[in-house]
Amino acid sequence: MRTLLFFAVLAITLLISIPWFTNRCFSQNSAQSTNQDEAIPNPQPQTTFTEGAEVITTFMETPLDVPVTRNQAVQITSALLGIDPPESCPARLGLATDNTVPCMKVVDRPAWEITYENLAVALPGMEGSKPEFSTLICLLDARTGALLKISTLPPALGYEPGELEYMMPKLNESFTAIEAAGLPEAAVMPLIPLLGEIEKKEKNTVKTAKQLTVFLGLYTKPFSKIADSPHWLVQTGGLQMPYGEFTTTNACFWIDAKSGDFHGKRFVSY
Amino acid sequence: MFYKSIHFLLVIFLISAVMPALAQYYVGRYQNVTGESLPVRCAQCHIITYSQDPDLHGGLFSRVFAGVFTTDGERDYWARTGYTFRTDQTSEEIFFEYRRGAPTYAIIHEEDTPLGTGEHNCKVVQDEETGVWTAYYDGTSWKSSTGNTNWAGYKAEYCGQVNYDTVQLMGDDNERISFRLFRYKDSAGNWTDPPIWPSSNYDHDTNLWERLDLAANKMFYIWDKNP
Repeated sequence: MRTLLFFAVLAITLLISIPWFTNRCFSQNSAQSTNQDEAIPNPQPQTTFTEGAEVITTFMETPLDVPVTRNQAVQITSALLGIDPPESCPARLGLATDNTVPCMKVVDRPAWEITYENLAVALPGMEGSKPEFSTLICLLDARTGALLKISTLPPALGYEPGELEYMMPKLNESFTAIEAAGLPEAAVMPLIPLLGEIEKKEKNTVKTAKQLTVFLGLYTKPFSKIADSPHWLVQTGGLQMPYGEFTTTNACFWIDAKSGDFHGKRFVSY
Repeated sequence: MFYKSIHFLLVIFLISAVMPALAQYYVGRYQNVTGESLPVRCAQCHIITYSQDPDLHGGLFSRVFAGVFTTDGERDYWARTGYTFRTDQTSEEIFFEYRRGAPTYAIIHEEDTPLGTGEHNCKVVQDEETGVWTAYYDGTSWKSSTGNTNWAGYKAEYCGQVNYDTVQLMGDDNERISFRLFRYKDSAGNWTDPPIWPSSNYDHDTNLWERLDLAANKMFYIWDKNP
């Protein structure tokens, strides 16, 4: 009788623990807390998403005591773009608010805003460089050195504010900022050469784009067996891809920043 | 005697109590739709695909899919999933595509991991409370809809779609894409085998493409006659 009782308790324990363990294994970020996570909070599950939410982006220039210097900020963003640091470029330090940065609360965050002008972004099958991408604005966390956003003016909007925060928890996905300066140099493929690679694989998704917005972060996606892997989220806007009654299409690409591989893409036609 | 032993009782206990409970747990994760007095909120299919050496002709894409469809008289709404083959990528991928309602009425098209050759199950399911459509691939959810998708279909649809004659599908006359095991949940929540609609949505050059409906309209093949 004791033996039966033992096995019954064991079976019930297994019954409870297996589903718990399964959820635990595939839940986002598990218990992997780092110092950086403390600085940049992980996304919280969002229960609602409202289409057409107002885009809020402000930058209030102000003197701040931050660990990342102007020169360091320019070095980091230049390396991520894949260009030599310019002799001079406008850079402002201040408090940034931007609700389009996915899964990261950028509200009055100390940040560097660095503006690259007269960039020559050349793409395959294109004569000369792309004028729409000649000016890129980089937003860098001034406390951690994490890249928050790279965009043209105006930016592309592949995912609306709050959309990824709503979608990702349903699929146990996550996207968190990374301190790019802390990664080995070879760990992140720079953006501008990668844009050419995207165009090679996805014709007319970069070459014809009028806007660009890019994020860099650690991506977790159980479906594709991706766990905390550096990824670019590249969004291009204003594409000439007519679909039904729609004339405007935005595209999104998840690009492995180590290998350049695609892990998913999205087209939104309005 | 074994049947009097403690081991026998243990085996009976495991079979009768533990296994059904575990099965209920794992199955339950994917049963988001009860379908009670509801229109079509779920459709699935089974696809068998074959590899091919892509011969690029510069077309866009072809695809086969299962989905749910409705219309408000002015606009069509759908949620679909299946595989797509884009000739400018030289690979086939799974896709999930859906239509949002007001205010944007946008079309969202998502693609992901290459489908690969072999047998695969694709399914779209709507959560009746939130209106969110979720696409499943071989039993695993891989994408959910966002925005206003709180509409329900009135019919399940299963299509082989070739956008341009120059686009290649996988396989050939000897290795045809098999598309079968179509099912949807009816208003009572029961899985139902739908008829395959006749060729009303199938406009093609019969010199280039062929389709064959078989088995009491429960499966069809589609293939490129000039691969």
